[in-house]
Amino acid sequence: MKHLHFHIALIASLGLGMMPAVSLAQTPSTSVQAIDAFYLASARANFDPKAFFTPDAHCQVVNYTADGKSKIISLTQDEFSAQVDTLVKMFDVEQQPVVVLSRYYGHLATAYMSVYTRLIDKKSGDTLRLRSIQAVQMIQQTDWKIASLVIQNEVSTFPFSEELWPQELSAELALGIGESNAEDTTETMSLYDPSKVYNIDELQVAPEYPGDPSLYTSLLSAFNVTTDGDAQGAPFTVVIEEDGFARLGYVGDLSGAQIERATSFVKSMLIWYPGVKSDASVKTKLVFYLL
Amino acid sequence: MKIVAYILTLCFWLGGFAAISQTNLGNPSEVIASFYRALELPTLEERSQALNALFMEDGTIQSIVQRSSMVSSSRGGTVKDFLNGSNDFYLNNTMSYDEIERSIDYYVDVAMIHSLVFQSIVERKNPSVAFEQMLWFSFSMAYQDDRWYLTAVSWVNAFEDEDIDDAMRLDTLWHQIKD
Repeated sequence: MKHLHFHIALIASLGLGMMPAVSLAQTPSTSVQAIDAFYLASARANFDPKAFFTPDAHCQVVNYTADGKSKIISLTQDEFSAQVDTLVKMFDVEQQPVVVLSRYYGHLATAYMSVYTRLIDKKSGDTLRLRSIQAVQMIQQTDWKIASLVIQNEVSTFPFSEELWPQELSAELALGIGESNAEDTTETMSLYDPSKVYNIDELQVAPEYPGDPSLYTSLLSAFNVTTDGDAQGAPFTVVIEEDGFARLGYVGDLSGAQIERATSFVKSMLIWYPGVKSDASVKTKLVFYLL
Repeated sequence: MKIVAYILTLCFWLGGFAAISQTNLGNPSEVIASFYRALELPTLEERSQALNALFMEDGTIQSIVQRSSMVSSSRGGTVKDFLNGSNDFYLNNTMSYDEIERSIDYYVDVAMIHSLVFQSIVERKNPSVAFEQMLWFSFSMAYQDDRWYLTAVSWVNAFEDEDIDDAMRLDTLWHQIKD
């Protein structure tokens, strides 16, 4: 077998013909530094996706339907940027990689990491803390750019392993979040029941409808629904799941037509920011009234 | 940052996966094996069908030609872009892939898989002309509809300055949280 120079073979193997070469005259920053810069920038207003993503990059987010099945949402870099804009309008956002499992060779690098996200509601001051697993593929052109980002928020029934959320780091983390300390965090993390549907008054942070408040008001008025218990409407409940999806709950006093209206009302909802108890997303029950 | 030993990585030394005949895309290993088999298919139609079945609709492919530690060129795009861009080469050559080593990191419905493969290329007109090289592949996957989908695949070739086995070496980095 005749062996030729490796890179010649690879060019041929891809059938890609002549491609512009990138020559790095200076020692480049590392892919991990680029990741740090990305998480810092994507928690701020005026996030510029072009500075961090390759032109064809996509971000996939794992969501869950009401019956618990995974549903992948794919975002272009512009769509990702729009999500960031929405988030930073409502919250002070802080997000940081915690443990990064990093590999690289040449101008390809990957990271599989746990990420801490803290959202502080700009109006109420309520704090939402999330943990997620994020997987990135990065390519070094003139700078390191993200070619692919996949995000999976923590699923309460599958807590992170010690390797991805070491006690040493979670203790440090707890020191920075208000009145909590490491011991308290360890204790409270076990105080919620992932299968239970909580009332709002049992939560640290109530579920929040995304976007401008007028969106929520418009939704209520479009279906002639209120949250005012004194309005003498027909009550029904909606459960906001840990992943923010809404499902219809108790409808015992509703007629068939009313159940259809309540179902349409729930199906028209965007994905909520879920309720939080003991620093974990939980199921929450909301009560509405059909007028 | 603190570097600790390899964590969470399952390494499988593989003697080859050609014997795998049934496809169970609920198993990430089968997705990887099917991907390499798809790259070996001779016709555009076959490759197109096989690759599109493995990727999510917005899935992407990135290839990097690494000439030295400091010089490379890359090309990326959709699966369709890859199929069209590589078709001329497939008309003139056949390719085969032998996986040497694999590692997987996963959490619930997300997985990241790394793989070292030995690629062989043989000219169709003159089978005595052949090329061989090692490649490092990175696969991102997500689980939906009772199966795994590829969301992104990237790869880079071995180059002289650095042993490609280093690609599989994992650094675990601990970030000091600033809250």
